[in-house]
Amino acid sequence: MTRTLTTAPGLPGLFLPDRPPGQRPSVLLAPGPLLLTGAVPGEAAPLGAHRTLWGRQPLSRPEALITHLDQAGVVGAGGAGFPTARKLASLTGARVGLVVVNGAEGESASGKDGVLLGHVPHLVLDGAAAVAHALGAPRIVVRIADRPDLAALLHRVLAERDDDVRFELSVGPDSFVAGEATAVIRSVLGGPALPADLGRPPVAPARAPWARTPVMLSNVETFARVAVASRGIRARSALLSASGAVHNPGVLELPETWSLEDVALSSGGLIGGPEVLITGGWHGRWIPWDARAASTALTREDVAAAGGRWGAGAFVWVPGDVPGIAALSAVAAELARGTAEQCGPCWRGLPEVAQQAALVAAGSLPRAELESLMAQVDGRGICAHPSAAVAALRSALDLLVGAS
Amino acid sequence: MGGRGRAAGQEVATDELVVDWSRCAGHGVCAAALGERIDLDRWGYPTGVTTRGVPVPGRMRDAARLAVASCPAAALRLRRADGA
Repeated sequence: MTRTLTTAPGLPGLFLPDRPPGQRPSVLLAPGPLLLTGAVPGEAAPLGAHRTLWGRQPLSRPEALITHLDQAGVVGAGGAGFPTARKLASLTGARVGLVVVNGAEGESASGKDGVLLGHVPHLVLDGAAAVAHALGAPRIVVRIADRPDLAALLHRVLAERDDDVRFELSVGPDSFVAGEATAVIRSVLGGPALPADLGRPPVAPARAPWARTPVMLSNVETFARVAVASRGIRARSALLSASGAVHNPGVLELPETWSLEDVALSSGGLIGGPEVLITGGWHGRWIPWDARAASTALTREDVAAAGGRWGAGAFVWVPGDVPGIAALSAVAAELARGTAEQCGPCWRGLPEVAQQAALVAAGSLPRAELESLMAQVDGRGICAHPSAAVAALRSALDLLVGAS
Repeated sequence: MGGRGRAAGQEVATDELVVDWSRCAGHGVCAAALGERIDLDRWGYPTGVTTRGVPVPGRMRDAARLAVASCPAAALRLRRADGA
């Protein structure tokens, strides 16, 4: 592989002192073993080539599809990891009016959904067609962030489809919170791309009280895995976005038995000597980059056992020459920018949390003071962002200054 | 949802006070109406209420109703704890 970076690496999309934003992992580095079989980096497989490889999408009743998904272990790949079989079971017979393929991917550390749509769009759409058929939904909306090249590609791809279901493309803002499930559903239904209240106590986003019908929303990768599993294939793979201190930031599909060290090597190798790995993106967990981390296998369970979080599969190596406090400040600022500015404790609290976290990392503020501030943010919003942001910053502080 | 492990002798909670954070603008009227339960945080948003609901004992019910009715942002609701 060629070296693509000529300057010191940064964190993808984030500003660090004295260096430009790091490269986002938006390119496919190599073909993969399952979803990206035979993929040519930079090219979308046309419908004919897709059908030569995979055949026509089998359509089945919900029970059969649910069994396939259960056997293949398909879980939501947008971050939460909820079993897709259970989600479908909860929506069977619910008069689902709309299936949403969520490719909004607003996080600068993630590029896998754009890569799947850009290379194997028909596999993703096959999965959506299978789900729509099983649930009896007449309409599928593919939601992406504002990326004209991808939108043009998908317009062409959707025109190739001959399914008995209506496909539409929806383009939303390219912001962190715009990809949140309720924000996407709300926006697709004509509202703003902002998280919405799910009632008290909260219901599943699929049953949002303000939606006219139940909505089945899942992540792009989830639908690609549905397409594979629905063909009776139980094989698994890991789809990841690798960035930060790697020579070639990008997206990789690898066997689950490979390790995080293999991810680093497959991304052109590490630059300098990174000591910290951010797992699961900006909402994820910071872990030391050591022998234990390097040997960790590429599953949700293995990454969790190593103290990390899979999330949406975004892994960021913090460049070794970036002080921990600078990395923490940059991520905290991104999380503060990520607020939808709807809920006071979140939009007022996260900027203060970001300031205080930097002071704690610098040793000039007791951690207890920051914790009392974070307690006033944690859980006090209608979406998961404030809680997830606080949890991520706590893990960063645990690593950088200890759990005191 | 009911019960919430209240100690013997305490009133049974029949209602839950819930907040919609996307509406709350920090007017602080609720803290004046229901000072026994609600304080204001550093930004003026109410403590002691959550999106999932906090049980309100019967003796506070009138004050809770006043807090709900007087919220300028209509951000508070009183919901029956049994989910009815």
